[in-house]
Amino acid sequence: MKALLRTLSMIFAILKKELIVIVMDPGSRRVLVVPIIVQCIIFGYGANFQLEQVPYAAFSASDDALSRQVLEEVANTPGFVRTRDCLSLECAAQSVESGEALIGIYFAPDFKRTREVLVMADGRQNPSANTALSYVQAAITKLNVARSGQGAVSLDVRQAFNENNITRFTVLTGMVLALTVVQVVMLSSLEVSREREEGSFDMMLMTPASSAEMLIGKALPPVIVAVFQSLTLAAICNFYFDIPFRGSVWDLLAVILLFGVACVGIGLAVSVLSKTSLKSIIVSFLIVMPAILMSGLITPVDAMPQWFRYVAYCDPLYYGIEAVWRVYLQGETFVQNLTLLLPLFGIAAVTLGAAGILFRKNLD
Amino acid sequence: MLRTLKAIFARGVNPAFLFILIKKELLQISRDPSVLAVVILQPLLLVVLYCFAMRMDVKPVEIAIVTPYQSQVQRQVTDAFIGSAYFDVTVVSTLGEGRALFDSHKVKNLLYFPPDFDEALAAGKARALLYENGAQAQLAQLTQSYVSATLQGALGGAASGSQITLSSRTWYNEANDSTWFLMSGQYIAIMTLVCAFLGSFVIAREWDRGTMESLSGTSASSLEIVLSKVITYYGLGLCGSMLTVFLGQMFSGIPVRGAVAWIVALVLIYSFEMVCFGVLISAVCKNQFLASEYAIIIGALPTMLLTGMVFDLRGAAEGIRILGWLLPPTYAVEASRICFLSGGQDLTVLRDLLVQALWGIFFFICAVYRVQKDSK
Repeated sequence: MKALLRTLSMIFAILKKELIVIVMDPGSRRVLVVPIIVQCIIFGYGANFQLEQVPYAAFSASDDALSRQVLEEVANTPGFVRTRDCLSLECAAQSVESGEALIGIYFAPDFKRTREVLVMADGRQNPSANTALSYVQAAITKLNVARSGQGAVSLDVRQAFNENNITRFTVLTGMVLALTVVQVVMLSSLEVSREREEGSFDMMLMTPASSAEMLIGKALPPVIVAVFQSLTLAAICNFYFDIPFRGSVWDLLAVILLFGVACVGIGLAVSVLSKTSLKSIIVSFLIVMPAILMSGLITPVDAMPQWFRYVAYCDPLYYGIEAVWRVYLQGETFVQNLTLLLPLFGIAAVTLGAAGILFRKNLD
Repeated sequence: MLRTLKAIFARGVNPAFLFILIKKELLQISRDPSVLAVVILQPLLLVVLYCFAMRMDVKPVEIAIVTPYQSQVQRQVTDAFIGSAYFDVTVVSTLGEGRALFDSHKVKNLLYFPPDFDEALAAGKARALLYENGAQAQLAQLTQSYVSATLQGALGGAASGSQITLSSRTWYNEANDSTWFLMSGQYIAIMTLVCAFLGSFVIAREWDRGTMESLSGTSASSLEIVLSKVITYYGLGLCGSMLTVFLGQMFSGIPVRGAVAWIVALVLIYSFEMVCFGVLISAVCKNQFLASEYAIIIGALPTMLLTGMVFDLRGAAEGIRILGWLLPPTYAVEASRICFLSGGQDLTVLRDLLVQALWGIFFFICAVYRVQKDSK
């Protein structure tokens, strides 16, 4: 009992010291709070795969009534804005080339016979172009159904957990961890190397704390920062952007905690191995950026080639973000999430264990 | 402020001082070569990621098809899905089984034919129900268009020849390959990361180590100090940028349809701008941790998310669209897309490059002023 109390007081003392280092400096206090909030709000409005606006150019060389019907149907599609009233094919083509129009619609003189609508899309913006093409296809299908009344099927789509297919739901809830990871890994990667650079690490060695106590004391503050940041971001998602929170806060907290520990483990391992703070920052940066990119937040993991998926399966962010989606958007519980949380736990155990071994080795 | 700047620039640059300062920077790099990792490893890692891992087109999509009544039409549709390279199909016979697969995340999509599907089809009012996991919004949207196209294709074949069809050409990206779209923009993102991150150390490190005082104690002016750092790290950043484009072209196979001279100019000017941006951050933060954080937070992340590189600005809210067009990288992304994918539009490219150059000079002057104010 006495030994336990002693350990706790050691950990607490180091924790207090580290927190003071982080929180007392107004610069680092600001960098931990302000940017994530500003970014969350800006990305909330900016990150959108839906097209609010589809500028298009159109030219019909056919006098067929049906071509006018098609154009009318397209013009009635929400968001479609005609950039120019074209009287030649060149005009429509130029509008697409200059980037003014996303798609150009053209009816050839023999449209009456071929019934083929020709559309040129700006492939420099390929996802938007594909979306716009699917809108035009939908308009044409609608017209076909109305005309023939047979062989046509309409597709009823229910998008569970995100009924209106709002990109923000996906990106922002993913950002709950993605914005946090940048700072948490870097913060923890500096904890040992900076002290070594400043010469205060030798003083740490003179304290009566054991290496394990020191490690825990050093690991906790960044985990606290991670929890604080992630919960703030989740609160912005819920209260500011009205993204419905379907899970329980405790389940979310469990994901964040595990994820935070995994990240801090990476950071501490980097920190022990780096001699200068410059090196720490560079190495953690080399880890964090790819980790965000292959997490499935920006492009889906399912789209990766098979061999690369195995790389992504080592990324704590992959499990973390997927788990946040499931808890936040789908309301799944801790137990339902175990398939994601167990690998995350494994990663945390490996990284923190590695940090511990390196720490002890470097202390002796 | 203007008077101070005038005084600094009027003094001019002493080539001897500049030479010694650059030598000092080079010596520092050779003693701690970890910055070289940013120049070499960073482009390599990111290019590999973007070329091989970051794709937008999921193929195949996992889907479960629920066909309780194995009528001929439904079998025909199911076969069309099974035959398509876009789908990985699981066929189940009850909705309950389908839901179980969906709830356990074995499939992300569920296509269901209601009991009255066949009769309704004859009457021209058939509805199929697609149930998707919307948690990944863009994936859901993509799947929807795949399913819709396959469904129409499977049933439309029987319809009369008077149907209107859509024939589309995706210009500049004929194979409709998302790597082309991503990569031409990501060159800018990687250059931003490499150059701004490199620049963000240089002045902060002097403050962190307390060597700024001894530097300002020498007779070198702030202009010479900043210039020596910009020149050295611009050289490094340029290596990183060129390596980025070189590796990218090697791995991704995206075409070069514009003039090579434009691309060279873009790399030269954009790298300069971003190094100056990093140096400015460094001068303002005076702390390596803060400077590198801000280089990512206000340099790299907005470049990735607010410049139309991944998310088309046409989809953004009005205010963000304006903000996006205020950020210089947006113009660089536009220029890069033109230079690599389409060619032509010399005037637009020229404007875009001019924007970069002006911002670069602005960042440089601000950095000089900041160092002058803080150190002397």
